[in-house]
Amino acid sequence: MALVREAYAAAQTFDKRIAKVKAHYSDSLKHMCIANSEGLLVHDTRPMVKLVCVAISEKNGKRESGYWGGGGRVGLEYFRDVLTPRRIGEEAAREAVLLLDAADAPAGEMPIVLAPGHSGVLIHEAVGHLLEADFSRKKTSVFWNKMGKRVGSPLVTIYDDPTIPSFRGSYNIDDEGTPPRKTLLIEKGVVRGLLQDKLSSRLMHGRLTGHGRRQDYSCAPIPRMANTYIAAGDDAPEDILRSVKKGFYVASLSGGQVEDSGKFTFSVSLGYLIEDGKLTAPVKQATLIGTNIDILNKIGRVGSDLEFGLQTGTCSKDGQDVPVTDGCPTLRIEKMTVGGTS
Amino acid sequence: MKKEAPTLRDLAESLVVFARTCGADEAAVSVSDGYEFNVDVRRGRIETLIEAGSRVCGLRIIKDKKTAFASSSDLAPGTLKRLVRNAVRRAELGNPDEYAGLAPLSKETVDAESLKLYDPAIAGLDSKTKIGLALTTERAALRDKRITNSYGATFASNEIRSVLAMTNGFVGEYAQTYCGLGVGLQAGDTDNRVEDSWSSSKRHFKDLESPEAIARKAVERTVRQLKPRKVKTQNVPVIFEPTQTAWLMGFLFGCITGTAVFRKATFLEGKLGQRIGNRLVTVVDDGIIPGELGSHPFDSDGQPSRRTVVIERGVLKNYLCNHYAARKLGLKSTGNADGNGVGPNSFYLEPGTVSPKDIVAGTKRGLILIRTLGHGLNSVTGDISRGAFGLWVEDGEIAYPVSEVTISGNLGKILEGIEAVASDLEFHSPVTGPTVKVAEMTVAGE
Repeated sequence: MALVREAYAAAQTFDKRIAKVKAHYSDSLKHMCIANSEGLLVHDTRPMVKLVCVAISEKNGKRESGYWGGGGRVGLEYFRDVLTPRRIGEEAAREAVLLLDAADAPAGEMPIVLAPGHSGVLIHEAVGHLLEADFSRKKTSVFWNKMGKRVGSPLVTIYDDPTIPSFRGSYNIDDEGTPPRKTLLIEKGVVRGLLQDKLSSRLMHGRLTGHGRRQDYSCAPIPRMANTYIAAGDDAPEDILRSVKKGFYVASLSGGQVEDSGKFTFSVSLGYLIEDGKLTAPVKQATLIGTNIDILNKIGRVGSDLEFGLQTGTCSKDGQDVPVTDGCPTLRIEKMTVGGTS
Repeated sequence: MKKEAPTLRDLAESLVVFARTCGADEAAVSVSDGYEFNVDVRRGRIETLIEAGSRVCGLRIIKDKKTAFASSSDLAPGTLKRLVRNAVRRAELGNPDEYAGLAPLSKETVDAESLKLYDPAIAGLDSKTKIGLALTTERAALRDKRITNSYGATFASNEIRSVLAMTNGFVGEYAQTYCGLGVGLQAGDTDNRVEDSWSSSKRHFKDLESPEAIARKAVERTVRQLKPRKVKTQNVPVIFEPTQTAWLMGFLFGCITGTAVFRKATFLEGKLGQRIGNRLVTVVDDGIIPGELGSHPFDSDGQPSRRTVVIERGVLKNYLCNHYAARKLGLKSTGNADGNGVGPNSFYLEPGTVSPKDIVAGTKRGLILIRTLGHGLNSVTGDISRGAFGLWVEDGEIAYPVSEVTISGNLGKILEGIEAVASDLEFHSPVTGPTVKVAEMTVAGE
């Protein structure tokens, strides 16, 4: 309760334009045991901690909101050593205040630069979901017949790794008892792997990767992502930004969605206009839309600065929610449709 | 299930008494007992088959104006007593809240029987019949050669008995059923796929659409999207099909709950009594329409369900509140308590008199919105920005399908700019509306 009060107070006192704050803390400790008729008997204990803050700012009757948070499979020392409640409150308030003066987002096709970290949502939606094996087994995914084929720029290499210590999406064993492996999904633009659960791997004669996950005991395990990221490239982030004359910079994202055809969206909660290689005016929320293979081919620069997004993400599929993390270095996409109004 | 009903009621009442002896000033206990059946079939074979019973007990304890919540799926008396004792202890950790407390016992009640929420025919369906319905629906859809793949068909049914008991003397109990049948499809080759689905969901089995009708609608909705184009970025009128008006109403609901208002998380805060839309806009929340999915005799505060006009010809008349939000805002509960929050009953935009066909015929150029992708809704500002699929209209006729564009605008401006409301309101889901035409939104494409 002290943690949640600290985050609340930090946001509340950050700026006099902060009108309302909500801070939320939750933790859980899940003991699990999996036994099956093949003779498997495994146990695991999974901690989960999450502290988030939503701040609402107000100026001349106009309101905006900001969000920040953190956590993972960690202990409370995380909020002392890695991310303090104060910082969570301040960052939420900062975003809310910044948006008060933000312009309407542009509308139409333009070059995009994605900030590192948060932007992993793009990879989660555009690639991760459609390489979950059930969609390939059912041949509904646009990737079902693309194994070993080029689907994107040679700069693009993507992994899903459930073994990164203390991450929200990590686990020691998946929910079917399979030890997880760091799984190569895309290598230099070529499809190399699928995320497998037992059912799909048997039906497809594919190798288990330890991605069979379930929300809880009452749901059936299905192939899911864990910690999905695009590997770091060679470009300095400043050079990537400098290379864009006029475009849209995605600073933070709030989620996305994909359908099996590869059409996907993600929602920007804070963006900036890029003019002559520099960030200028902050802009408000907008949704971006594209088709995955088209966008993967338009990734023109990949930064050396791989970061992971906030440790607060949840992915929904077939009505089941599981914790996940996404990561991404600074990226440049040559052209994508931005759904603003101006 | 029926023979266990008295036990549920006894359990709820005894826990209320026990909470008092543990030191609670007030307590509310809900107990429900559900039975669920769900079958997914795909390409003629069963993909998943689930039969599950679930019992849940939820409780709210108030002590010294401090509130604690707890729930358990283990209904063993020892577990529940521990749950109550821990909740009372946990309540002491919180801050006192002058608005905490149960709603006063209402003099009015709604007769659960008159709402026709329970269909014994659903309990009587055997598993083979339910599986057969899903198989028949998918088979009918796959008969169309333009359909190239299937997400499968689903039949689901639920029976739930719920009891709510409170220290203010309220005890309510009712049984409800619902069932649903639907199918999802793809058309086109792998690199040019389009998809859509259709489903029917009702409280009474006889009201469910037939497998053939569901298959026909799903096929039609899917194949009409084949060979889409991307349009140039422009501002045009947007015609929302009823499935799209439904999400727009869902977004509006999130903006008119008392909870959003006291959190200042909605652009409609402070607008009570003011004009927020044009005269074509009347929005109602109704918890007492017999047989509808959104109907219940009472809410989770024990308040009787009712009909509430939310927007009357453009004027915001009521926020939808549970007891807590109402107290905090100095308003009256509207019977919308749902768990610990606020939920919709049947929440809908009242239909107009024109036909959807005439709306399209009267549109020189615009987009019929048929599907969206992504979230892109911000209740604090009312801003909307979503991925969109639609049909392009030229000179009053459908010209071609459109995909990979976005639509953006603002809910406040949409409510002011609704030009036409059609007559085709149907309660496919509790939150719904007819076809509407919005004067202008931004369609971003090339």
